[in-house]
Amino acid sequence: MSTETVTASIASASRDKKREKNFVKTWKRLLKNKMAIVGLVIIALQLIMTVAAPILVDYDPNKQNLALSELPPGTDGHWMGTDNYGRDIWSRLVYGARISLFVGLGAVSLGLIGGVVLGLLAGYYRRLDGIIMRFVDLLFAFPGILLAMLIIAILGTSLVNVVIAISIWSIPTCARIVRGSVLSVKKQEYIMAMKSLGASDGRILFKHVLPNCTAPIIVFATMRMATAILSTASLSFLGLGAQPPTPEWGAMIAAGQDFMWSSPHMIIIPGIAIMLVVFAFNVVGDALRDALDPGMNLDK
Amino acid sequence: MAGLIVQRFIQLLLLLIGISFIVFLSMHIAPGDPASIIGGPTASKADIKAIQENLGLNKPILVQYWDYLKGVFTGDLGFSYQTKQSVTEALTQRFPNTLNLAIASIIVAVVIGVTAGIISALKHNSLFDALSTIIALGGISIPNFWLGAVLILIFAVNLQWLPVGGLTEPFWTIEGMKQLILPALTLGTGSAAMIARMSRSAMLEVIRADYVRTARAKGVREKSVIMLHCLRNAMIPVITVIGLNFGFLLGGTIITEQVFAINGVGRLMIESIAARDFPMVQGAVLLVATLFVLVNLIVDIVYAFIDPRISYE
Repeated sequence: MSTETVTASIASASRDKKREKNFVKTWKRLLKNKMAIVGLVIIALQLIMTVAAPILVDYDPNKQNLALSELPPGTDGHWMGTDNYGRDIWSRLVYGARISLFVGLGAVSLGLIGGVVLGLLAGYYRRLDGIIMRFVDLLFAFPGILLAMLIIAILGTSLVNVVIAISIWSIPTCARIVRGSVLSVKKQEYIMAMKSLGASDGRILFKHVLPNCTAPIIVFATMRMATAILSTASLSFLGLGAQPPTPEWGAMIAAGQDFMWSSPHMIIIPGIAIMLVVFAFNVVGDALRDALDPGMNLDK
Repeated sequence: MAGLIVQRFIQLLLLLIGISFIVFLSMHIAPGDPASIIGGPTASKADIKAIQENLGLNKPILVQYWDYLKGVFTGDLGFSYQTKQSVTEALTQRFPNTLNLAIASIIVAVVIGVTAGIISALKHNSLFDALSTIIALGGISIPNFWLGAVLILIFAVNLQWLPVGGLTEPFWTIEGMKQLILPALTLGTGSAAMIARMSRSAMLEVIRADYVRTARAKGVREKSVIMLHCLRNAMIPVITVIGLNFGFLLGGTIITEQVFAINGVGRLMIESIAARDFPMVQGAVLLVATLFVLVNLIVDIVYAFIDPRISYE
């Protein structure tokens, strides 16, 4: 083994150790925040509902039984009651958790891919900066929900198109955040050193610049999960997302609106579910920001 | 300052051209030929060709865009595929309701948000602070369409204090104001939460600044310290948030209008998307996006006026 290889592997091992140490430190700081713990518990519950949905429920979420319609919460066998078609609300809620998480993850992941690539290119290459950022400015000129609706108007109404619409809406914010981080990272001495050693732009960008921009990206992704889940529910409520009989939370509220006088639980239960999950991602995002950058926390 | 305004107006003009291009392009990307939609299922090929020629749809795309842009500047946004009504006319009829709702909501948001934020900062680490922080986080997380439905259930159905929906009466009448309360609360809550969080953190930052400590050390009365030294400086970032929120509220009216059955631009847009009535969707998007960038421009200029340290050079 040559001396260079040995030195490189020692450096890599020490870098991994440092990363692990940083992760533990961040995690410990995160756990000091009580609200973050509440948020993490709610997210964990949603994950359990997503994974163990078939075990957690006794009924098919779409199975109708008109003889059991609009049963109130607390009814034997239907502890959250039933809707106007006699469908079990607990079953629909659990399967709705799955949809909400998948749509949120899908929209945020796609948005991150687009935003990170654009942000890296804009921050690293001065020539591309102007063009990319003007495009980003243009997307910023539309209020988010309006942009999503315009995209849905073009693509048609469906959950997949909601994912695409929300991901496009996420791109400009992500690109701006990544660009800002890249601009400060690329001035660091180790990047200059990599350049002088002849490393390719791709290697510098993805191996050295991107890992140093992860903190703001993680915070953005967590917060964006909240926005994505809320927007999916809003668009489905408007009839532009999930279509009946999909047990999506926003669509459940839309369907329950006509029965809220006689069966208010049809709108109250899915509404609380949306609020809790969005709240959870918001507080965890907030806490992550404080944990990753303790200097920003004004309360301490 | 004049240079700044001119610079911002040039940027605004370019942005508006960009917005109009995206909106125009959306019609061409969307599936379905407009001429076939207008002609209906019974139209012959000759009919469709005649409609295409009549609307200029057989011209090169850039020429069509130029025609569209000329129409936008002269107030001609085309006509609805469904009702054949002029888009400009439909938007003019519906826009006052949207604007009233957005203005009422921003008033609700500012009054609740700024007050809660300032009291939270002044009573830092108190029970009020803790409660208001949690409520603010809850406020950001509440789906406003759900909040609207719950408010209807409580105040219109159970207590029967306020009407269920619609903005059918002028807002300056008692009935009109009553009709505006629930929608404004629904739409304003999320923004109130955001403004409260921003006001709190801005105020906390200012309270800890050296010049505030100096003012206190010099024996300035606490009331003057808060009103003259803290509030004035803390409000600078808050004004930006308020301005941005007003823009977002214009977008948010779409959902609230649907919940309260208000005949505004947002509801028109949803109906038009469902009917694939593209000229109407385009007109509504163009109107809201234009107002959004205009509001942002005004915020930018106001920001520079109130904070002389800001330079856009």
